[in-house]
Amino acid sequence: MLISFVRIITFALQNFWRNIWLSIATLSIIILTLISVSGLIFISVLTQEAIASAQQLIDLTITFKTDITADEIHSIDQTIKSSLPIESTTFISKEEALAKFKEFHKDDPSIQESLNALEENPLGNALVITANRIEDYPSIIAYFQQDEMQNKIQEFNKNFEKHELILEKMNLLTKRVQEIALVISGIFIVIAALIVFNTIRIAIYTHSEEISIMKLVGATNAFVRGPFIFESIFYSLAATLITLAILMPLLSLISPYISAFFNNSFDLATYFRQHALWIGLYEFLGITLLNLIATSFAIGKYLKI
Amino acid sequence: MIIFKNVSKIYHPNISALKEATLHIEPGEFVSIVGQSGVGKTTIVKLITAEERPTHGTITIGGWDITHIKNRAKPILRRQIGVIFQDFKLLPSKTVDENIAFALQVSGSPFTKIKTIVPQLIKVVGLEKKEDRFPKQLSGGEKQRVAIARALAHRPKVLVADEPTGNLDAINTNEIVDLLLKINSFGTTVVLVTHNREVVNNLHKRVITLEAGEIVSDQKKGKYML
Repeated sequence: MLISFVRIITFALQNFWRNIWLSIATLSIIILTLISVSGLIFISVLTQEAIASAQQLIDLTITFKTDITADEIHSIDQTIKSSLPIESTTFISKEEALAKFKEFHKDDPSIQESLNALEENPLGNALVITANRIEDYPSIIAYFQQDEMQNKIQEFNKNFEKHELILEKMNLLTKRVQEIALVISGIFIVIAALIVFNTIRIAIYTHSEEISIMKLVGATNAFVRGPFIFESIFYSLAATLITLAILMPLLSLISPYISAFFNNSFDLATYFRQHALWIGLYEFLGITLLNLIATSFAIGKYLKI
Repeated sequence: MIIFKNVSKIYHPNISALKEATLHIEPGEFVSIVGQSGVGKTTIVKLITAEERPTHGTITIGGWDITHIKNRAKPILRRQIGVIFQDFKLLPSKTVDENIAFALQVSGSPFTKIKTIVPQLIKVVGLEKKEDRFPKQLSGGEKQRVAIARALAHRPKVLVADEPTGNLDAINTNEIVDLLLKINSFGTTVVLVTHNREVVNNLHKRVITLEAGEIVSDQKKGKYML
């Protein structure tokens, strides 16, 4: 048993080396496939990141009436945090709000004069709310549209409507982008699988005469199949390692441009370094499974002697 | 050693490669099976090596009824029969040494046994100093010698040669036939399938003649009659 195993491995390595051009051609196709699949993974990650970045730009600012105290707002804050899908809230006091307002309109003398004419701060305390997901905003908005809450809020109905419209469009866009990415990925993976499948079949077809000779000399099916199976695992391992070795410097090269797009909040090269082991492992398992199926399928018909 | 009882092989309803063939080959015999192309000579080889199953009749080799042989038993049968072919059927990516060793490796022979037997076989077929060459670096006669050495690796009781001289010139043909006679002299049953008149006539051994899938003559010391 051990002797046969050693021989199968030896034959597989011999096959690989002695048919080096066929091996390189097969390996190249598998590497290109893995690079394409990795590209899809990165596109998916970037899509998710872009959506997350867009989500972070959206928040809900609830400005309360001037008679609503900070304590009351903190109480509302506690209630909504425990009952609604909220990621974070930020309290902005009326003083902070006024300071920001003045700073924003510092070049507008008419506004400055009007503010100075007022004896009291016309702005109320505010709460800036960020939801867990985009689709969570409608439930938060609905909460503040209740009569009990409406009485405490200063002129915001129009803002809600605007938010609702933006959020609906954003939701729709996100879903569409995800659906399109999924369909394109699916099509691409099927094409890649077919290419690898047929490459392996052609590689084995070139050995069909050899397989029949082995059978006529008295080799069992397992002994004939063994080197090809091992060779396909070897192809998968080599292709995965080479793909990772190609992607590492390639991503370091393009990552600064991608980071710039995300205002340096996301670095693809760092993401890849952190996840390289898992990406490599999943790609290795996937391509090995595909290679094994293709090998078993292709070799089967030549073993019927 | 080899017994065919009323063996027929029908590929398609209208194509009978072999019709009711009955023959009995004794251990240690040298038998030539002759006939023109397409009369069923290679079908007999394929039936002996279990590449094909008979449509009717029974086949027994060394007392083993292989008529309904199971797929998993075929390798065991093939390790007991040496076969050589017109197109040599060598593994192109293996050297002379490795081609011969392969026949032993498939049966799980230990490394030490292979190291002892392979050089002996190379010497028997006269290919010393060429053991590291690949088939494409050998002449036709040399390739056939490798094929013979490989066929002998298991010390088979039967050696089946299917048109072994078909691709060889006269000198190489004589050398291969001499080699087959030498192997036969050691007690191995040799079945030579050929349509080479000169070879058969010079042998003065048993000749079975086929015509249209039927055995039309079986002579103890025969000649090529067609």
